[in-house]
Amino acid sequence: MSVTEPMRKITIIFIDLYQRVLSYFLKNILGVSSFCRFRPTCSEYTKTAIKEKGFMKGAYIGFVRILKCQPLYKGV
Amino acid sequence: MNIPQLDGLNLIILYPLLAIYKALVFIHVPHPLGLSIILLTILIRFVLYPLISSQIKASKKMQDLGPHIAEIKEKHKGNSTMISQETMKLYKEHGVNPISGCLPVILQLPIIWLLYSVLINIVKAPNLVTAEINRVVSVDFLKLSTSLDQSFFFFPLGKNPAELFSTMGPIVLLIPIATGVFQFLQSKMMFSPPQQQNQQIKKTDDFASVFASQSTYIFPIMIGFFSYTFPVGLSLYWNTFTIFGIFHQYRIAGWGGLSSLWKKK
Repeated sequence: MSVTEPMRKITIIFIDLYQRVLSYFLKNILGVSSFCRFRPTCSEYTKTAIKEKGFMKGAYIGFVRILKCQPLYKGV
Repeated sequence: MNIPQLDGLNLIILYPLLAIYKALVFIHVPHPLGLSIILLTILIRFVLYPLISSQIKASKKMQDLGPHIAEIKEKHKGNSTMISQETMKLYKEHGVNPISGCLPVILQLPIIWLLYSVLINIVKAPNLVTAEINRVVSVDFLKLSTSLDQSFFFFPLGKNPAELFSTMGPIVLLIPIATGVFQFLQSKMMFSPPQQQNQQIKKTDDFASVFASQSTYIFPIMIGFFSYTFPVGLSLYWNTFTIFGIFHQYRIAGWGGLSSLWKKK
């Protein structure tokens, strides 16, 4: 078991919590009902990445994905 | 504990707020602080208007395409590259332009936070706040010569409904109720009717789907409870913010899910 194994599990629980509860609150506060340009969504994508590649690599992959979610990035 | 702190990043919000306040005091408008909070919030929402508009437009189109996307997901189950390719193709065909992405919208968060942290400080003990403002503000004409006027019609902006209940009675409950109702209206407009969604989304997760259908109620109720214990000045800000959001949503996407309230079949 790697050192980051507990980290991995905790992060996945947090992402689940975000997807089920916090994202609704966030959308209410920001006044926008959906803002994902990518499919799967960043949270889902990051969750899969962390599940498959471990905490460090998965979190990095997810972070890069979120950074692409702005007008300067042209890809899909 | 109740010492106001308005330096640092707070100045970004404090300067325009003081400028509006001083202008209103100068032309002898009554309730200047409350009006300044309203005006500054509206001003900020106008600045953010283009950022959010494009997002509301894209959201509406995406929501309309929801059934098609569910179809694609069903057809290419398990093949996520295929799903995302087909989804993007669908967006392109229907002219959805999700090109902006979420970061512009999330830019709102620090602004919402700064407004919150300035307002929660500015409605504290008036003489302490006045002293603090004069300490941090370096522009002479924005310094306060008299103590900050914190009254707003019947309500002192620095007190919360829970404190006011004993002196003003149940009428103060109008504040949390109004806050909850406005939040509900916005939430209802934003999210399409749940019965429509539930048919499409497979119930893979019961809790998630129950929460999704109830979320239009949960958040407004929470906000209503919060506003009962938050200073009136903050509720004033949040309600201005929400009401502007309702108008914004209406101008771009119409009544949305709210129309289901009067179109009961």
